[in-house]
Amino acid sequence: MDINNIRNFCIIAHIDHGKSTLADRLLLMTGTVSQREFKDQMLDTMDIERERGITVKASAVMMNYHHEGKDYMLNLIDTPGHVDFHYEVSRSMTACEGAILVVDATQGVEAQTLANAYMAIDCNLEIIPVINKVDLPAAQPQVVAEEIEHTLGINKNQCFYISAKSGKGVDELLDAIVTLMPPPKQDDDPHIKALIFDSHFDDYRGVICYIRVMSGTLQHGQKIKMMGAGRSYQISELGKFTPSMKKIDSLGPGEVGYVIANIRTLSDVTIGDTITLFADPAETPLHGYKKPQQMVFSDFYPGNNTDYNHLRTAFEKLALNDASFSFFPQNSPALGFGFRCGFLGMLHMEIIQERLERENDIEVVQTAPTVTYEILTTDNETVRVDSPSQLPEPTKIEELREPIVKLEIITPKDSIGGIMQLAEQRRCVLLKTDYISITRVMMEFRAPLAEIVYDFYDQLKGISRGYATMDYELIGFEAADLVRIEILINKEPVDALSLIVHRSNAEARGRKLLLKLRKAIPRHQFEIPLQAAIGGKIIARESIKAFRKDVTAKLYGGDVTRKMKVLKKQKEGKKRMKNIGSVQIPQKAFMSILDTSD
Amino acid sequence: MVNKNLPKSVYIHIPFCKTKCAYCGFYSKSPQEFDVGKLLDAEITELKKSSFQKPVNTLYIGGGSPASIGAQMLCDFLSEIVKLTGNAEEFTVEINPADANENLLTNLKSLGVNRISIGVQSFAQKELDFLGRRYSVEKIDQIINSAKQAGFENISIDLIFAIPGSILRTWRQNLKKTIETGVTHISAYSLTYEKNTPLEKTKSAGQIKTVSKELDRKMYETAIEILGGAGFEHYEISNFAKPGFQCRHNLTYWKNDFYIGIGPAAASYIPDWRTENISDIDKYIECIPLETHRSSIPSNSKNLSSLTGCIENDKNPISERIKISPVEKASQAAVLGLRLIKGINLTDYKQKTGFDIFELFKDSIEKNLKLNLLQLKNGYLSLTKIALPIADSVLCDFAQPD
Repeated sequence: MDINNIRNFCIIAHIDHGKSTLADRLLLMTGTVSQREFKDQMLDTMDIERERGITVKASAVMMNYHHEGKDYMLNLIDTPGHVDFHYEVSRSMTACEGAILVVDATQGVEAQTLANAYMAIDCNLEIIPVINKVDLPAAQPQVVAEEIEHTLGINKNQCFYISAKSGKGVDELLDAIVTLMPPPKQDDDPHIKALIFDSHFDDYRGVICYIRVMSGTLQHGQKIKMMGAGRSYQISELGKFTPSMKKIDSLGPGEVGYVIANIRTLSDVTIGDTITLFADPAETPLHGYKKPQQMVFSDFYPGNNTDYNHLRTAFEKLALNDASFSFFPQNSPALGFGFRCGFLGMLHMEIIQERLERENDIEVVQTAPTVTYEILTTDNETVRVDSPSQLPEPTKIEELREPIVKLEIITPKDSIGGIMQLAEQRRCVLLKTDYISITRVMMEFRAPLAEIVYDFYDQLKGISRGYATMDYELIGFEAADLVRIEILINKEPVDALSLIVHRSNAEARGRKLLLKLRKAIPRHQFEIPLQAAIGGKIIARESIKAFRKDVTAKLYGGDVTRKMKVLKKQKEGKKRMKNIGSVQIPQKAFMSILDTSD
Repeated sequence: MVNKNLPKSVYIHIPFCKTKCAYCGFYSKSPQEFDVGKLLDAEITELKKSSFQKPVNTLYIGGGSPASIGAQMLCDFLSEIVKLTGNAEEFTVEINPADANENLLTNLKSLGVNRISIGVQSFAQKELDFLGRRYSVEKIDQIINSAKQAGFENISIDLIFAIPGSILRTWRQNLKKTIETGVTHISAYSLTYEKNTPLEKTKSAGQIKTVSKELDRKMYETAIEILGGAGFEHYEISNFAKPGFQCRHNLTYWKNDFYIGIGPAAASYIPDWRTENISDIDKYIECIPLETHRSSIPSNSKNLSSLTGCIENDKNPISERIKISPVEKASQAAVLGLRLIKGINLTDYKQKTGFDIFELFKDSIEKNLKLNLLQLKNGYLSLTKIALPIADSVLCDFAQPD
């Protein structure tokens, strides 16, 4: 295909603004899928994506489109909808020349509308603003068009008004894709260069790489090399998504498709890597490749009906399809065997947890998330830790830095007061307030990531009655007056319970945790002191009184069998508990402490 | 020839009581509703068919209230029993103060009964009423005096503490009164809310305010202190005795020795097996006339259900039969033995069970020694003083090997 007749684009939108509906509509109107297949395809998408209205994994579909006597190849590259997947989104966008920015006519510009649009601008994409759901009674297309102009500097006259659901205005949009978006740039480099912008694992075929050819032509059977990973493979299949996988012999410049090359594990493939020819490699890879950075960590432990191996298998399966998720075995004396998992962000974490439970029928208990901290040691070294227990001795810490994000919240103006209050509690600093319309405001904060990873979003939704949206972007690490609270149960420090908090909150947090512990730990044969300490100094204390009476009064000949049964149960119950020194704590109780500590 | 595996203790259950006390979890029925004679005949048949050492060391007649069937009937029955068991060294009959008089006690004495266990429960009328006991405090005094008159030296009484509404002062008075009576043995129990009793149901319904665990413990500790001060040796978690008056029959249980139980709901422990008779007087009687040989339990049988109850062809009164493995035996020996204040004689334990207790329960023993809940003294492993009120939390560690 003539490179000038190719258009590669993505659709970007805030959650629920109609991205998937528009994608489906485009497939239908270009005849890529028939009305009958349409339903099947809808069912194919993952439960979580459907329910949350977000697209977790990128995918690419080729559509044929006839316009003014010419045949065009339109490649729709799907992008993850949340900026947790910032890197994946940026790779997907790198494979495109244009982006359709969808904004709901009844909702207006939202936090993720902006975050996605900024990224598209960064990637030099031609943006076509589209106002969707214009046929709804509550639609305010003009107001929304003004918000777009105000927030993104895109002239409101450029907006398209459509209903993805009914198809209204989508014909014009299809024409605009061809006429307004540029074709892929000709690259004169004779070497083959193809960008891997996504991958997934197929149980039968191994890893399937989604690629965009930047220069040269990939042929079936060629030996290829991944420039970043340094590995080489033989292409066993080339193809395109129509949307089903269709084999072809070659993929030319500007085209989008897939490569199968007997790659066994997803970790062998890195998104953003460059494929070149093994025999005649390109000199330099495509730029922009980096390893995704995990900023949020949480421990997962097998729940009631799940065992450790079962959980590990499930994690392995998830990691196959999600290179930005990582897990490491973790053995805590308090909590037993589990895994420490790293995520790009909060949403990513929630998605993994839901997938675990749904796709694998696994019950997990998840600890409160923590973030990565940066430490300047007294030896002038910079190290990062993602767990309070990894912190070096206080005397070896010159400076403790926490991750700081730029937090954007878009909210109806009547929630400003409540949000300011929440922000203050969470050590957020207001940078600016900007009215994007008469009724809605964009607030920008500098916020410690640790303060927003847990529970912040829920509170924000509560304060704004569901209307506020937020997004954040890491902007760096900043020194803060952080301390590690150590929790001691019966004078034994419990690593898994230690936490890093701002000094101003330390005492309150410590006290709160101890109260929870006191409720969760059953009485023992002895009194159990509970303490919270910072660097050996006790900042809060509680105690669990010894139980007073536990003895069978009568045990004679007829009671032996029954009593033995009862005592066996009692012993088994003890065994299921975790030992901290001589204190036995039901795992469930432990989890409830961690799970709800805020 | 003496067979060391033959049970030397016999318990005979008389499952009758004129009225059922609210807290009682034992199997007992009103004697008026049944053909008591028929049951007693069946029990004698069961005893005849059972294997035990003759004469037995201990014979214990319990209930219910044995005397509730009438003095004459009881005495006739006991004389038949004694013919079968021989003269026991310790021959106990349980007595409900409501059902006894001096005449009965004299008759019992002449039959060879040498120990009387009186279900006093309390010397406070209010508490007696709460428990549903149908006698007065005066009646208790009378019975104890009658027993002495009849020549009984070994008199035991049961006391219950932590009765709702009870305060420490009442309990102290109960203890003081008990000591004054001159009895030689005391069983002091914290009120237990047995499942399926009217008392437990009232409690579950939230209609009674139970005594706090604090007070319960305090009462228990008070008993140990006051009774100890009066020359009663605390020899088992709930039992106290003047020197030489420990209950030998009950020691059989705690030392994990063999015994047989006769009558509905009675339990037996014979080599490798623990069995329990059916808790139904009519069904029990039905099962008895046919051949029953305790010694003929097939020890290799895997299908326990075919051994159970009289529903099958093989008629016998047993409703539950549990094979006791060597490890299970060792666990039971540990749990029961630790109820004795003196504890477990380590040499005896190894001899009887074949196991070294320190191997079987290594972690549990180490842990509890460290917590000062167990102690090792002169070849005995025992609960410490602080472990007594919370004994189950320690004993459960021995319910099965680590």
